[in-house]
Parts: sequence; structure tokens; C-alpha cells
Amino acid sequence: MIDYIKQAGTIRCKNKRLILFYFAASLLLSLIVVMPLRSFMSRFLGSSLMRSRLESGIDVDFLIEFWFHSPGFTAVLVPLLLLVFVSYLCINLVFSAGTIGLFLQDKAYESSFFWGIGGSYFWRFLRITLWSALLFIILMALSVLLGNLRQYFHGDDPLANISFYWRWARIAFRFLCFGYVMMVIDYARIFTVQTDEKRMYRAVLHGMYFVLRNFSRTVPLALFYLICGLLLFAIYYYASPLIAYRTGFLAVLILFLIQQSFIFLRMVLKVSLMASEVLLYKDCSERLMQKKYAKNIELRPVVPPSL
Amino acid sequence: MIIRNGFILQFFLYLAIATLSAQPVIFENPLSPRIANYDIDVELDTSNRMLHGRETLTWFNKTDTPVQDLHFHLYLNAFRNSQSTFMIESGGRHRSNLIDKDGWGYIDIDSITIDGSDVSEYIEFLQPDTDHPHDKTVCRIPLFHILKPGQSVNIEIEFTAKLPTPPFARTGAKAEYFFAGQWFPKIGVFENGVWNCHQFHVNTEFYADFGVYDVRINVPAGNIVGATGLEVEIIENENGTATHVYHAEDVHDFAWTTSPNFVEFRGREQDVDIRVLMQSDMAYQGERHLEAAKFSVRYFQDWYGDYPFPNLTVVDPRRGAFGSGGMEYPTLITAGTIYGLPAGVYLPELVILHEFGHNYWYHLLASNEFEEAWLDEGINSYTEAKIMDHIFNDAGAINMGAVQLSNKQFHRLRYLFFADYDPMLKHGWKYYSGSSYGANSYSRPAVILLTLDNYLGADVMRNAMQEYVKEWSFKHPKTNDFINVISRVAGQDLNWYFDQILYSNATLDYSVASIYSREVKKNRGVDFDDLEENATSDSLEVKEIKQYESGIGVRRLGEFIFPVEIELTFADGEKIREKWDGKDLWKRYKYVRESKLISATVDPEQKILIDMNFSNNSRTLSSKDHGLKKVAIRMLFWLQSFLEMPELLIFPFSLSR
Ligand SMILES: [Zn+2]
Repeated sequence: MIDYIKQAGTIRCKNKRLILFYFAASLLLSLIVVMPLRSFMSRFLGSSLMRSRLESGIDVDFLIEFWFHSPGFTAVLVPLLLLVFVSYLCINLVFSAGTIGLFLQDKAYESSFFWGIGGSYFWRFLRITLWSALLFIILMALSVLLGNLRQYFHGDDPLANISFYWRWARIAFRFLCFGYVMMVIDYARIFTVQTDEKRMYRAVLHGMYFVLRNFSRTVPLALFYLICGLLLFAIYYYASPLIAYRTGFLAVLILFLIQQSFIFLRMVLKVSLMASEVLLYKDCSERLMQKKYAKNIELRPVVPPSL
Repeated sequence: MIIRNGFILQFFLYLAIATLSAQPVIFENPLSPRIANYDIDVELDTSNRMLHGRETLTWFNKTDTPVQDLHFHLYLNAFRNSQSTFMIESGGRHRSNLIDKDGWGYIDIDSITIDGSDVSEYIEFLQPDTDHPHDKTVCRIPLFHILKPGQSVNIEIEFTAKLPTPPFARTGAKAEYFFAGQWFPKIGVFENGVWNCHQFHVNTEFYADFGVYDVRINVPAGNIVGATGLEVEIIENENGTATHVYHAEDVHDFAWTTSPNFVEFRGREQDVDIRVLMQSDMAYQGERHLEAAKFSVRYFQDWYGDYPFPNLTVVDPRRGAFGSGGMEYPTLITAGTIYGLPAGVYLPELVILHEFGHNYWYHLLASNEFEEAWLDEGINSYTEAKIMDHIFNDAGAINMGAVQLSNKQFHRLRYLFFADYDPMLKHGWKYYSGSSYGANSYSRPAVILLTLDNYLGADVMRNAMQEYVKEWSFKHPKTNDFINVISRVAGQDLNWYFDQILYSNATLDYSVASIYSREVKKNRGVDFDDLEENATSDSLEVKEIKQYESGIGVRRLGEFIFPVEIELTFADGEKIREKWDGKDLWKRYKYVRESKLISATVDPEQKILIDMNFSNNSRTLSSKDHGLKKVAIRMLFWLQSFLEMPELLIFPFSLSR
């Protein structure tokens, strides 16, 4: 596993530009929501002192006033959020196809190659996402069975503490399902680009199989990046208050830089994970080929020499 | 003398039982007129959630009008069928609880005798408030002898009742847990020559006369019982049941609960014995509940006056029985909490403080909650906000790191949404909606009284509340009685304030509509230019000091009039305070100074909580925008993070399903 992580570093270095792409997409699309929101708030606040008070942290009075006096606000915000969410998903489909293409061929970034692959695999990746969404829904439905299990053990009227722990168990189960589906998506994508598979349900099935078949590698790898992400968040969580409550333009600027650095590092992790997964996939599939090949070699002596 | 010491009290009680003398005495001198006195035997049939009761009521006509009939509440009939007033008004839903499809509850009078003669066949159901012919929550029984002023009557009633399940609108049963509220035939209030006995509505609570209650509750042996008043004795019966004997004085209602699964916590605060009955699975929060009950007793006694009763029982409703949570009865209240509740979400604290507060406004003062709910719930919400925000440093609702919400803000938010649907004073069932009833009975009076508290000063207001408690306990005060006490203590007639709230839906909104500050230019033109020339040629050079003309315009955008302060801040740090009576629609202020005006704020300390919009209360000429930038980059960051982690949605989604 450590090899995949190390080699992913080398691949990532060859493709620094990719990180910038992911980062820029996240920043620009989020700005689409935040800019109108900001001007909405700005107009609401006018030249009031409430506006100045915002500098010293969350102002509950402002939230109350804004919520109450801007009834049309959610009607605008929700569709805007949906739009940005869908756009972000689509852009990531294009990027991930290009990224996987580059990584599979161990290439440095090349514009025509990256965008070419990105465009040609877009629909297939979208279908993978939809099939995976179906898989996720099925798994989520399975979590209802946890309720039946609880009922089996504790009846219709479980004690409050039992309901409480089962609720957490359900949440944990759902997170596990989500993690599994995310891995399935990743390996289904890699499989699709490598084999040029056209039937996406097969790619998803392959992804499901691959993750489980190579459980001892796929899961620790994903866990490693998950833990890195959590550590990163912990650092941000403890570092940001140092500046978050300071006032003045410089404080705002530094806070912005800290936050965006955090997002940037998340993107580094994201690209690294993809590189590691590609390496792992290549490695595992090569071994499989070798095994098959080796079997063939073994088979040869069985063939009678006279033939 | 009021016997308050627990030991002495117990001694007296034991003495009373041991000698089989008359009933025990809690108060040597009655605190109340003791008009409606009940002696009840009730037997609980747990498997059918039935109550079999025999009630002897001794009722005194302490008015100066003869009485020809008696009116009774049969509250449990609210849950009898879909055609009761309660069910029609609620659609079968109360505080987000639904009644089970087979969970109906009811109460039937099996027989009734008045001074020995059977009048069962003369029972007549009345619907004094609405046109709901099937409602059976009020009945009338004729008297064959007119009851003259000063006379009393003995009424014996045998009744059968079924508790709804799960507990619905405060009362009912769930598995082994029973909470009996509004469970017995209860006489109305005879006042001003008529019976005040309303149907049970979805949005109303209760009104009753004070009296003495002796109640014997028969439940399975081993069950723990909590009830209004004091437990005098437990008699173990041979049939596997136990009879819990309770005695209460100067109370106007009696509720009880039983379950084998209660875990008891006991404590004492000042002169009050506190008993907390927790469900076994929630027992880990027992100390938290006990602490909340203790500070409730402490603050209310210190701030608002004496709680004359020797004890308080706090009941934690069973899981699946929250319909019986958050309710007040004399000396018995129900709380409500959630397993795993964070310490910074003050739900049990808030509920216990609120319900204990009712033991002043609902119990001691005992106003008519059908007709003037705000006198109970509203004053109680005000005192709750005062105490919670005081104890928890202005975060008396939620205090979870960056997320802080004061009780004051909570009530103001609720008030904003329904500020102008109704005048505050209405009969409970006549508001536009349940939400309007809620806002006008709880949060609107809370912010109205908090605003008044800021206007008069906290000390004046506290003195006034103490006076109100002292003067009106056990006397069923009305809205005007409250206003008169506050006015008297404050030394000013406050009807101008209350009239705008009680009888109108006027809202208040002050705003700084304009602000400017400009350098004063010399006068020019015909007449002035000549003067100028002369002045410069004749006089020696005088160093000119710049002068600025500054001004603001403030507007009153609502109809509600309330005096307000305006603060103006100048560049040299000087602050000027102006007072505006708010009677006109607008007012301009103008200044000529050596320093520029920076900002102006109406109501700078946010004392006027009824102001519908705080964001227009100020204007500044030197606006710094770092705050909004900070908010914007934060939103940007959280949105970017969310786009990368949509799985966070699993949390809210998993809370319910
Ligand atoms: Zn209440």
C-alpha cells in the first residue's frame, strides 16, 4: 500500500495542473452561489451597524433578521445550490476521466489528451454515477433491515438507550455504504477507461467485485486517505480560530488563504487517491493476468506431446 | 402558621394517621377560599387503562348570587371521538403527537347524587363555546333546591374513565406508564352570576377554584406513584394492589402518575422537598433534572416570591409518551428530554423551569386560561427567559460553542412570525391558528414584558411581579389586575402600552432612514459676497475651523408607539443621546459640530424587543465591509467543503428514518 501512496506522489508531481483544475472548479462554482448571496445580504444590511458587527463572529440577531425578512431567499438559494451541485458533479466527471486516462498511461498532462478522454467518457461516467446511485439506494434500503434486527432483539418498544445506539449504528452503516459506493465508482471508472467497456452496469459490477476481491488493499488505501483528510480537518479546526475572531482586512485575507489552502490540500488528497487507486488497479489486474498466463503455461505440459 | 419544615410535617402526618384522627393539615390557616373540595377513590385497571372512581365534592357558593345548577368539565371526553370540539379543532394532532386509531379516551358518569338524591337522569351536555353538538366535555346538572349564597352542596359521583393511548394532550397511558390529568368530573367556576365552564379546546388550558383534595389511588403493588400534594400513606391490599393516599390543600387541580419503572431522585432546595421520577432508561439524567428543579425553586422564590407548598414532584414522561410531557399541575410537573442530549442544549432545564414557573402563574395566581392564557403562559415565558438567560449568560436556550441562542432570541423569533395575526387578548379558541395562539400566549407576551422590563428597569419589574404574586395569589386575577399592579409599582399608568398589545395587532419598527454629514460652506451670493470681502480685508487672518453639518432622519414604520432613545456617534468619539416619544411618523435631528457624524442608532441597547426589524435600526457613514467579506468567505469555504462531502447529508437524513 505504501508503494501505491509513494508512487502516487510521483504521478501527482507530473500532473500538478490537475489539482489546480479541481481546485478552480470548486472555487468558481461556489462563487456562483456565494456572490449573489453576498449581494443579497449586502442589500439587506445596507449601511447599518449590524453590517460592521458581522466582523466579530456569528451574529444571531443578524441570522434571525435575515431569515425573517428575506422570505424569498431560500426560493433562490435552493435551486442555485442544486444547479451548482449538478454542475460540479458533471465537471468532476470530465476531470476524473481525463485524470484516470493520464494516470493509466503514466503520462504527464497533455491538454488534448486530457480533454479528449474527459469528453469521450463523460456519458459513460455519468451512467456509472447513476448505476452507483441505484446501488446506494439499495444499500440504504438495507439499513432499514437494521430496524428489523433491532425489533428482533429488543421488540417494538426498545429502551431509549437502545434506540439511541441503534440509530448511531444505522448512521455508521450508511457511511460505510457510502464509502463502499465511492470506491466502486472509482474502480468502475478505471475499469471503463482501461478496457473501453461500453456497458456501465458491467463496469459497476466489476467495481463491486474488485473492491471486495481486493478488500485488503482497496479498503486500507481508502482509509489512509480518509484519515489524512480528517487530520487535515483537525488541523484546520484548531488553526482557524486563531485568526477567525480577529478583525481587519488582513485577518479576512489570512482566513481566506487558510481556508483555500485547506481546500487545495483536499484536492491534493483527492488526486493522490485517484493515482493510488489507478496504481493499485493496474497492479492487481496485472497479477491476475500473470496468474492466468501462468495457468496457461502450466496447462501446456498436460497437452500430449504427440499432438 | 404555615408548616414548612419536612420533618415537622411528616411528624404531623404520621401523628394524624396513627391516631386515625381527622385528615392531616398542611396549612393551619387556609391560603385560598377552598370552594371546590374533593374526596376521591380511584382504582386503576392497568390492562384496560380504565379508571373506576367515586368522588365526593363539597362545593360552596361563596358568591352573592343564588345557584340553580352545576356545571362540570368532563375533559377526557375530548378524546371520545372525532366529533369532540378538541378533535375537530386539532384534527387529531396535539403538539405533533397523534392519537392511536384505537386509543380513544373518555369519561362516563355512572351515577350522581346531590345531597342524597339521585339526579343521574338529568345530566345534560352543553356546548357553550362552539356549535359542536357531539362534544361532551361540559355537562349541566340541575339543582332541585336553589343554593343560596354561603350555602354548600354535597355531590357524589361514580365515574368510569378510559385514558387515551399513547398519552395525548397531557393525559393517557403507554404500556406500564400512566399519567392521569383532567381525569375526574371537575366543577366549573361560578362567577359574576354565571358558570365559567368552557369546552375542552385544542388551544386552551384550564380554570378552576381552589380546594382541598383527598385522593386514594389504587394501583398494582410495587408501582411508584407521584401526585399533586403529599403522600400520606401507602396501604398494601390483599389483592396485589396498593392504595396511595394523597392529601393536598389550596390547589385547584389534582394529577397523578404511576409506573413500576420510575427511578426516584430526591433533594431539597430552600424549604421545598423535591422528588424526581425518572424513567429507568433515562435515569442517568436524574441529577440533571434534580439540579434544574433546584435552581427553578431557588430563582423563583428569590425573584418572585414564596412558593408556599412543601414539595414538588417532577415526572419524566416515558418514551413514546411525550404527549404527557412539559405540563404543569399543582406541585406536580412533567418534564421531557432525549437520550444522548448534549449538555449545552438546555431542554430539560428549560422545561422544568417553565413548568415550575406555572406553579406561580397557573397555580398560585390561577387566572382563567381559557380566556386570558397570556396571564399564565405569557408571564411564565417572560420569567423563564429572565432566569434562563441569567443563569446561562445570555445563552439560555442553546450553548454549543459557536452556536448560542438566548431564550430571549428564541421568543423574539417566534414572536416575529406571528406578531400581527391577532390582538394578544382573546379566548384561546378564537385565534387565527394554533401558531397565532402560541405566539400570542407565549412569545409575544414574553417579548412585551421583556421590553417593559428594559423600559422600567429590572428591579422595578421584579418588585412589581412580587407585588402581583403577593396581592393576587389564590384570587384569579384578570389582565387589568396585572396592569394595575405593574402601573402602581412603576408609578405610572401603563395602559397606553398594554392597550396597543391587548386589543390591537399593531407592530413596532423604528428605523434610521437617512444620515448625512457635510462641511459647512460659507454663505454666498447677493448680500453675502460683499460681507465676505469686507470681512477678509478688514480682519486679521483667523485660522478657520472646519464645521460640519450632520443630520439624521428616523422613522416609525409600524403603528405601535413607544418612546425610544437615539444614539449619534461623532468622529471625535463624542456620543449624543436623544429621546424621541415616537408619536409622529418621523423626526429629523440636525447638528453643527467640528466633528463629522459617523453613525446613528435607534434603541442602541436593543431594549425594545418588539421591534420587528433590528437591521434597520442603525446607519453609518463609515461602513467597513470586512464583516460581510468574512461571512462570504466562510460561506464559500463551507460550500466548497460540502461539495466534496455530500455524505454529510446522511446525518440529517438518518435522524428520522
Ligand atoms: Zn407553559
